Amino acid sequence: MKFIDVMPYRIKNTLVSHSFILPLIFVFFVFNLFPLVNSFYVSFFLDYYTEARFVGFDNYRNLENEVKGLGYALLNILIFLPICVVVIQIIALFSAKLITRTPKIIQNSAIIILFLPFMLPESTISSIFANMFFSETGLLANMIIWINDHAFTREIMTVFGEGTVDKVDFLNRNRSDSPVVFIYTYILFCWVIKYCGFFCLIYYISLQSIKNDIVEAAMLEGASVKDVFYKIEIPMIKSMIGMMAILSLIFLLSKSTLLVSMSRSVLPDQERYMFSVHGLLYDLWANVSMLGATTWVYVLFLVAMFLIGFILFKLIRYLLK
Amino acid sequence: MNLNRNFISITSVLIIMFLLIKPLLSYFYASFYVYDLPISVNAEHYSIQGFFNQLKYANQYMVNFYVSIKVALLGTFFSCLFSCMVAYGLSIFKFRFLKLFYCILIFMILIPEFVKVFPFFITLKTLGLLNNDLALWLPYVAPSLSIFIIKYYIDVVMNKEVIEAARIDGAGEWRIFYSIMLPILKPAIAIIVVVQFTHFWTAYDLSILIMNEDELKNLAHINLYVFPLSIIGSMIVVVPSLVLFFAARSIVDFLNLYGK
Repeated sequence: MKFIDVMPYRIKNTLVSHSFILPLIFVFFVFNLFPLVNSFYVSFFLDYYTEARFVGFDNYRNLENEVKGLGYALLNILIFLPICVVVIQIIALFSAKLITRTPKIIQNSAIIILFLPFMLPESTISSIFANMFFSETGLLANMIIWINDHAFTREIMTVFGEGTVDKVDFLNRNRSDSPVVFIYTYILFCWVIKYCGFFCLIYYISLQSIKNDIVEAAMLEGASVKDVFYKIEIPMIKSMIGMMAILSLIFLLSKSTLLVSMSRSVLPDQERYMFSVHGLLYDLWANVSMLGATTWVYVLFLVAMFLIGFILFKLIRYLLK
Repeated sequence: MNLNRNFISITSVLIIMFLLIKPLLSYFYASFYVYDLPISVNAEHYSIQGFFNQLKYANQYMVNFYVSIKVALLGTFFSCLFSCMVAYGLSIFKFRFLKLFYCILIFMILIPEFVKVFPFFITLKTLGLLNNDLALWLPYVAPSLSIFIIKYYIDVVMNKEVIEAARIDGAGEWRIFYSIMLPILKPAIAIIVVVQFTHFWTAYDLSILIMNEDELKNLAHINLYVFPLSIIGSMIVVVPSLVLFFAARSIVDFLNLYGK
């Protein structure tokens, strides 16, 4: 300790300040950077654990043949994830606004109930909804049976041109050729239930933090609730909305259980239905070199996706100015 | 007119709450179900005996319960402590490469956990941490999201003059951290505790990949395997998080703080 006490102030200050951020540096280098660099190194070899033959970029060149469905998986992520993000953010924002307009007791109950699905493991959520959507005995199947069993509901259905409602095979147990729309609906539904509450809570806090004086002044000037929401509240929490959109994208990308179960068990084995890269990564477990190559393609794809998104965002903001 | 509008809001919120809680409640009812069938609307099959039967069946997973508790408690404690330390360091001190540290934080958030899992497995193998519960919590002791939340709290809510005053009085940086900062950060720490505990408690992928033997896996892994067990498993998994959520009254204080 005496050694530290007699140190020059500047060195001592540097040591103390860096000791605070030491955990971050340790975790980053050991568990983030080193694994990625290691997988990059491994991706240049063939059969790394046996003969470890250096092949250069051949693994990357062979990705198209060795890893079937990688292109479709990336395309699915590119199209489906932004749709999910937009749907979740819109529902969360409007739910938060509705909650702020209710009495305090309902607000407190709503916060707890909204946060509940977020606390459940994704495996549980997928299990719950797999049972809900199960085509034979699930809740939706029971609902369809109930609609078909009652005369008045059948009459209502005839208005739409159908006497009875057919069973919907959301989970594609029959391995049909075109399950995509139902599977997408199912995943969207699960994600909305799981994450909407969390974002709704964040928006609720943001809306609460807006000073009442501004809203009251606008109301006195004759603005309606709709005007206040669209012209005052949304512009004021604009930065928060952007941050939450990015956060929800990261959540959806990182929480993989549902995607893996979709890719491996529910979807048919045809390559064009491979939902995401997560399932592919599981399948490549035995082939470390191709796994390294796929991981790096996916990392570069994500970085490119975020960069393009960032540039588009800046461009739109510049054009709107 | 105002009453009418409020009525619409209240009804809408109640419908949203119902839609969210209904599937979870159905699952809860199903834990009382006697037979090994999926969720049914026939109430005559429900029995309290069904719940105890399932609980008895789940008893074999007590070992996994202890692993989960150990990992969740250790992970939550260290991740909260280190989040506060890093956030305090980044907010208070001036670093030469401050932007680099922000880039590190953003990089850690940006690259999904799942992508890192497979190279990460190779790293753990190199470090000899396979089949060791240390591997379930040690890599997550400095979570970026928690660091950002604490840092936001320090930057926006806290009065930094308190730290200057303590320095003038002769307190060292570590002394300031645990005597002044940690008590002030209590509301933010409450949020971090809930988020981190939920994260460690529900961690699923890593447990499946790293642990070879069933006794070493955590509780979340039992959910997907057998159907009747998955119901009672879900009930067991959600209870500690729920208790913690209700216990953390500071969350409400935090919300009220921003509500003013």
